[in-house]
Amino acid sequence: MAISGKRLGLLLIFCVLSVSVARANSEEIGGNFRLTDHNNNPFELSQLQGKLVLLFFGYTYCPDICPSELANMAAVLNGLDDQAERVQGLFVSLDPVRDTPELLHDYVSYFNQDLIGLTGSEAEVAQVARQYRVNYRRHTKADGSYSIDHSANLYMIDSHGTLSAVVPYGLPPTHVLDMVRGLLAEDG
Amino acid sequence: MAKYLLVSLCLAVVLTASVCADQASQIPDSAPGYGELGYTLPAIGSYTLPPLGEAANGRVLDSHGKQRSLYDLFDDGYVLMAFIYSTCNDINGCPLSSHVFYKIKSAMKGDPDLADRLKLISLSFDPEIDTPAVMNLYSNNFRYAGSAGEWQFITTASHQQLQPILRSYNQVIQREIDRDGKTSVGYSHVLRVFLIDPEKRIRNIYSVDFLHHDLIINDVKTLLLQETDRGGVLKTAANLPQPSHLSKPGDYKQGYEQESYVTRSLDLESRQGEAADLLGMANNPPLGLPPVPVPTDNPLTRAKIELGRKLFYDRRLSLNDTFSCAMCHVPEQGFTSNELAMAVGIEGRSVRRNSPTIYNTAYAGLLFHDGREQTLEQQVWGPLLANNEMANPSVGYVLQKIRGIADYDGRFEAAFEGRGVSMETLGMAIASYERTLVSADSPFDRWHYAGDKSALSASAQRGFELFTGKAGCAACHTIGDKHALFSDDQLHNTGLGFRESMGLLPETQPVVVAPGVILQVDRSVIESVGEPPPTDVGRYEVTQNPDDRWKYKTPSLRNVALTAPYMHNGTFSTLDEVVDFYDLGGVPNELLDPLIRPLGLTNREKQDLVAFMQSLTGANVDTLVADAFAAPVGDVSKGDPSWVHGSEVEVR
Amino acid sequence: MRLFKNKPAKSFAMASALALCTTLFGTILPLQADETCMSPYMAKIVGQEDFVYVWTLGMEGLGDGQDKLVTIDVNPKSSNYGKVVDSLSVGGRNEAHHSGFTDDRHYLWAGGLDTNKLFIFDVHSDPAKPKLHKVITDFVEKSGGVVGPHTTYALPGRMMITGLSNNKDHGGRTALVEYTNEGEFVATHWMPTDQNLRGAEKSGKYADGYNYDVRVLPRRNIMLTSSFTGWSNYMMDFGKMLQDKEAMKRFGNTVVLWDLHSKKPKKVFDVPGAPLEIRCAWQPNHNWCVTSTALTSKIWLIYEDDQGEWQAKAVADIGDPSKVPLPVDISISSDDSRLWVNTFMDGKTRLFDMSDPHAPKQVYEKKIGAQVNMASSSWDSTRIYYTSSLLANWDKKGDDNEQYFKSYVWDGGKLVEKFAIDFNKEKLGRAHQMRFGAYSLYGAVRPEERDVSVATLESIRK
Repeated sequence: MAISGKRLGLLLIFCVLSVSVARANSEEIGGNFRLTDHNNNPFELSQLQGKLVLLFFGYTYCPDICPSELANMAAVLNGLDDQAERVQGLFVSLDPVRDTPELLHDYVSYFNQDLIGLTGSEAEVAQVARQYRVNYRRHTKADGSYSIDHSANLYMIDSHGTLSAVVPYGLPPTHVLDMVRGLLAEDG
Repeated sequence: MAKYLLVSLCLAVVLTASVCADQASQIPDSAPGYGELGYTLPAIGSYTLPPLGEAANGRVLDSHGKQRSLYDLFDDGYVLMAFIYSTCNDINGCPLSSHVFYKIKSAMKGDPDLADRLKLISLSFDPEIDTPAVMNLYSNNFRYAGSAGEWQFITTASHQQLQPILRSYNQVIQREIDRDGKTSVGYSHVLRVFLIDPEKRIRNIYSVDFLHHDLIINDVKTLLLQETDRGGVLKTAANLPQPSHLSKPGDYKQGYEQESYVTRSLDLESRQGEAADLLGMANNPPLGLPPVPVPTDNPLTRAKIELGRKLFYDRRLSLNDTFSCAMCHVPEQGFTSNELAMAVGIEGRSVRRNSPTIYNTAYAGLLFHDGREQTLEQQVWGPLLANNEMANPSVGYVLQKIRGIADYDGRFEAAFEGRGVSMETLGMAIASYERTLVSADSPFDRWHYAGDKSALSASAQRGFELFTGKAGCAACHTIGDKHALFSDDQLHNTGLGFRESMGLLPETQPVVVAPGVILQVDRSVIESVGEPPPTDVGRYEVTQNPDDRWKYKTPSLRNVALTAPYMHNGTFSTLDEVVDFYDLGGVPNELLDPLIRPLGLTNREKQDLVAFMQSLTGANVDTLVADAFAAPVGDVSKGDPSWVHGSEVEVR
Repeated sequence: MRLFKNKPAKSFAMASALALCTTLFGTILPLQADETCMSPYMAKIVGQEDFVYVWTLGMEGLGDGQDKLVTIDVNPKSSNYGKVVDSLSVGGRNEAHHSGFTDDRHYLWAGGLDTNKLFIFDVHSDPAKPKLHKVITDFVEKSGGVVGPHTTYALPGRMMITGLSNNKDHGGRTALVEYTNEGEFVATHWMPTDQNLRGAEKSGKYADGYNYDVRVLPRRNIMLTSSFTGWSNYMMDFGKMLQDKEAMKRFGNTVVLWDLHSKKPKKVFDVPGAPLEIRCAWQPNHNWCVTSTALTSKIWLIYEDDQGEWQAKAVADIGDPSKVPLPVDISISSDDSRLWVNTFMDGKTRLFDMSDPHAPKQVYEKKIGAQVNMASSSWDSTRIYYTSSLLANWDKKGDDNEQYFKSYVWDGGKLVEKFAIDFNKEKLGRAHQMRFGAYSLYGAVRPEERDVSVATLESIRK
């Protein structure tokens, strides 16, 4: 019950956010969201309750930061051994136009079979990004192709769906692993 | 598209392969802070970190939302503070500072001293997004990992609270704009991380290229070491080698024409001296000199000498504050300039004659090369007002300026029985100092006037015979029975001036462009970048008597070894060249002084003459130079007369 | 979107402000990398530079006779393209020479070699109209006697200023002086001399204690300084000096290698004949810098050898050294493959192929004017600007004293002139050093159509 109550609260916030984007900043960071997973199935964060979630935003055409961060995430998951199943890695695409579920499937599974790639409509993705204060922006090049600048924090969401820590980019996987172990221990 | 993906995946392979290593260092183009330092750091404590201003205070919110002051958080420790914002999307920006901070925090685990003394603070400059709750999410990184040491994530309540902090740390932050001129969510700023000491002074500032944990730890350790070992750096300064002979150019260039030339440069910071008893020296001049003639209306006093000495070295006594008397009459260069044939005045204006020495000018009846002035008191005003020397526009300008300089307050009144600065007192003060620069008691004096047979080398003794005999030098450079001034205080035509005015110049000119490298430079090249040389007709310019054309004053030869280059136009670099000139009988012209004639000297005789002249260096020159080194050099400081001072371009 | 870069080699301030760009684009640019490497921490310009600021020497008897910062609109899209849009007189003839931005690129520090004043211009509030923000008058007093503030080079939060002379003998012995961005004196670092090498190794015959330019390679933790001459020489009539045997002995013959972090000299190299401007390579694997010697007309390479030891060697002649072409300014391309070298006496600019820095080869030359001094190139090497003045009393006399700003485009094979401004005719003075400005650096958009057109020189005069 406690969980669903929380979910309700998050949904409420979701509504507030969607109508009042300009004031998003004063709202709480994090929360539930709905997207489409890399198998083209609907996805909701809340379905991962009970698991510790590592959430990262990026795009498959990303040349350096995303692969390195996903490789990091994979290293953390691999380092957890028997506890790995208590943790779920998520990769939200900030480039839904190009990142189809199919493409995402190939991409994330390259790093780790258990990673879930998420995408959606541009509006849906923008909404999630706003919730988590992800700053991203498209740069169009002369040849019509584009890249996306984005902030590269790693979000840790506890088994109750609460955002419990943000790991800035640049901290090593060993640190993330320590944090994950600590959070799991706290969760019992 | 597929290609892009492939590239990404290939990169990922590389990354995964070394994923246990510090993954960010694998990313090409990442800042040095992500990798190993590419060089060896200077030893801890081997350098200093001079303060870069004060680290300002400010109102902030800690990650629990509590109002704090920055100083409160600094808590009298060493602080490393970075300005960040959490939505930053540049890996070499805020994430770099996080990475480096993390490395330092990790180092604290094994270094309790570092953990105890240094605090890490990340301060957000985006109060809208980075609320205390958001900052708390960052703090949570250390609930489970890296508990040693303190790393605080703080923010501010509003842009209003933030602005003064940004201003005081000179962090200019601006909202980025996109191509259409709309503001976007990003910010532009120059990444700066501040190292602050317990006295709230900024001791270093790191930007992208410099932000590295090893380097910062090195700096912190250096500060900690110097905290316990104060003065360690100063000690090395006291061990500086002492100059052995003060009276030579600090930048010795003898032999520069040869490839074998080596520098023997002196350190400017060690150019220090001690005050001498100038009054005593003037009242009791060294062996070989007569009593110093002192005008009855300007008796020597310590106050006047000291005031004159201060004025002599004061560069503010010129129109644009760049020229003192001493810029042309450099103490260690024989109170003349060894570095220039002919002097250069303010704005580089050409002076057409060589700077004469101030040594023993007390005895000169004629001043300037053309003898146009008679007393030092009057002479002083010549250079002060000459457009191509110190270029002061008027007498009143000089006096008014001195009145505006605080360090002269009461000085003239004290030296001149209540009289303030005036055209007269200024001249009297500088003349008083110049008058004390008497120098003799040279080897020659000891040999000739004190009967010390060993004082003079055999060569110099032979040179004396030539000087007073065959070479006839003493006809003008007179030597008396009890003392010698080595000048008849008269003017003569040696033909040198005639040649400069009337002679034809060769098509090319040898120019030394580096030690041992001499090029023949076309006259046309020289002329393309040079003003035509000003004419100089010598004494004639004063008397208008055509018979006085190209006559110049006989200079004293005392200390002549120190006063190169020679002649009124500095045309000869060495005494050998001077002797050669006279040996050839000067330059024939209808007004050539009859005393100048070919001498027929042998090489050995020439050497002996030079040896004699080299024996004329006074025993007290180092004392006088050391005294000059102790004199304050006047340069513009706050509050001195300047259009800038007090205007908004100074106050800001 | 294109990255904006000032002439890289001329502007450390820029390099520092855009330090990230240096790191990232050093390798990336030639590869056409995508723009995720564009950093929010650096100034970006959409398109090209809008302005060139020319630090100009007042000429006695011309116009108001005083030094000024002249702003030229160089954006071809602007209605004022090719025009002087602002002229800011600063009082006096100070021997205006070089200038450099602070690391945030908001202020331009410009030194006066004669009067030792430092003029700090606000170039961010309105890039079209710099304001005199602050004047430092007590540089000599604060620094303990350093004269002739020359290069103003940005380090994080502070400026490193090279001196050329001193207040004791107006000779060449001098120091580096450090100031905060706010204009507060920090420290004086005296050059190594024989009497006190300050821990440096005298690798050859010379340790003259002279100074001129400064550049750094942060990733190697090195700083390099070159050596020119003291006040008496740089201020005096050039023709007079060439005939003054004593004066000609007072030129610098050294380059000093410093530990950048500790600001301590490590090694003194013999580089005879007045090595002036220093330019360091941009590529992250290029551990070398170049300088040119004014009097001996050579390119010298200062490089880190295979053993990690820094060395100096002459690698090329510039023109015919026996004719004293007097190389003055040099400019290195962002990919380190080319070096522009200006020779003052023949008024030529020469392009050297630097693909092997140990054996540069001249591949192009063009006469720019009767005399030429500075060259400033855009980051992409397509635009290059030239000015005429070397030093007030070294400039050519009579008709050859051309004073100009000239704008060229490098089309890959030759320089094509776009426009020129006659600084004599405009009664501005001697055009010396150039720095670039742009609206987009400061979060502003270039006014496409201005409501009030920017003041032209005509309106300034009214």
